[in-house]
Amino acid sequence: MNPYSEKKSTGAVPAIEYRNVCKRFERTEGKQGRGLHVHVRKDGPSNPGSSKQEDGFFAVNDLSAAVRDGELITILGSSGCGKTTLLKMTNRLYEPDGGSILLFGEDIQKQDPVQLRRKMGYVIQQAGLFPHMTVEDNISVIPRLLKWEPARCHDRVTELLNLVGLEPDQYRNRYPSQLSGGQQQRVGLARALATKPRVMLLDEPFGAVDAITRLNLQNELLRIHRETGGTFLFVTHDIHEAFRLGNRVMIMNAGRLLQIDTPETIVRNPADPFVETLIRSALEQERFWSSTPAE
Amino acid sequence: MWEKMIAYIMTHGDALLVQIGTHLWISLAALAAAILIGAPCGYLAADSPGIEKWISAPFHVLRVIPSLAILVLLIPIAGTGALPAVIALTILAVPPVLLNTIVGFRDVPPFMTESAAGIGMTDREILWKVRIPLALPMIFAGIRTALVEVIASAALAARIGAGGLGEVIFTGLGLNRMDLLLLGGTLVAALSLLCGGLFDALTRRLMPYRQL
Repeated sequence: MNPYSEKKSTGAVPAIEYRNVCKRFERTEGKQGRGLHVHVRKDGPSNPGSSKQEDGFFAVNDLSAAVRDGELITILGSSGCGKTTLLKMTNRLYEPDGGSILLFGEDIQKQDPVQLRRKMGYVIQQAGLFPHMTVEDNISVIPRLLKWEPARCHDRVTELLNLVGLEPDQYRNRYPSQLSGGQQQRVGLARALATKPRVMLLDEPFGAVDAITRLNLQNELLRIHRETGGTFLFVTHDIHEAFRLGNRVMIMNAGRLLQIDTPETIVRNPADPFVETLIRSALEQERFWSSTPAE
Repeated sequence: MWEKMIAYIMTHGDALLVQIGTHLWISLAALAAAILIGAPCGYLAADSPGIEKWISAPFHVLRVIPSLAILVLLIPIAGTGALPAVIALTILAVPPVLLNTIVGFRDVPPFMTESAAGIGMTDREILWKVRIPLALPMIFAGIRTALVEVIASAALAARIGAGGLGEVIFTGLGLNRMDLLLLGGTLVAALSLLCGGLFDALTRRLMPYRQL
């Protein structure tokens, strides 16, 4: 039944487990029935493609999956497929309308949202750095709220800047506006890693940086994942990024999970016509590059 | 003219200092009151458009009434002297503070508060560490507008016996003395510019990241 469970049930508790998770957004007034431009309430993505029902639609529809501890899972889908909604339900920025989400076997609904989020790192596409704080203050926001000693904060910032590949003494006193987009993402990553979370949620973190910087950041992310050994959930709409980074890839469309498996298995055995189309389109692009060889 | 003005400063120097002092404290009291009213109201209004109507409307109506009229209208209620002057100036100063506070809070990008929540800040921490600091430049711009406006308008306070540099101007009007009119006017303008400049310096000091 579940697309994930056939192999490797080692008995270990999954880091994250989604059980029949649903999230429904109401349609708001105006432009109803026009199809293309459906406005939804501000807490939901605008989404013409999802399964509709009466005046609302399911952004995530009966989704079940389990993420093993230490995995890097990429969640792939076009915009509006529910991947960001799924991620935001994982740290309770959104509440599911049905089903449950377990973090290391414990229902997150029974946990305090703030405490829950402090156990998870969260990085978004815009980096979300606070412009009025220096790099150092940005990274140590949560440690300082947790009343860490200043010396400990300082050391942790040094450690984290090294980890994300920024020279600590050169960057710690800069403001976000003095950083490039890629550097801002690195600092965002460092901030998310500050309290050594076991789970990292990344929402298209490299969506707004150029191709070369993205490649570097992807490599850094793989290294950071190796070094920290955490569980990473990485949302992206870029199929190359998804297949390159993920230990396993979760493919979503219209709120449903179509397939979750290793990149190799998905390519060899697409479980769904949509997945097949997706892979074919990626191969199509590939063909262009291989047919025009660069010197 | 110049000699007359300088002679007046020489002979009435002490009185002028007192008038400048009164002028300043009336203005700053009104500004402080306007901040205490405008900023919290602006914060509340920013979060709910329903409240905004009820908060903004009265001040918009009050602002249309000329300050001088408000001063005179206040005499039966608050009497004469400094109090009605401060009240009238507060009414004048609230709208810029209020409106800028509303805009300041509304302009904080949603992804900013969401990323703050996402890394585990409580609502209170988000308010004090993210929303207020990000709204502050806008709020300060409103306070600056109010400050300059209030100092200029405080000259009217002398009309109802509250003192201040308006006394020099009104004396000049009464005696038809151009030198006093000019002196009073110049001092008010200078005071207004000086305070604006000091306030800008304070803003730069508090928000170094804005200069980058």
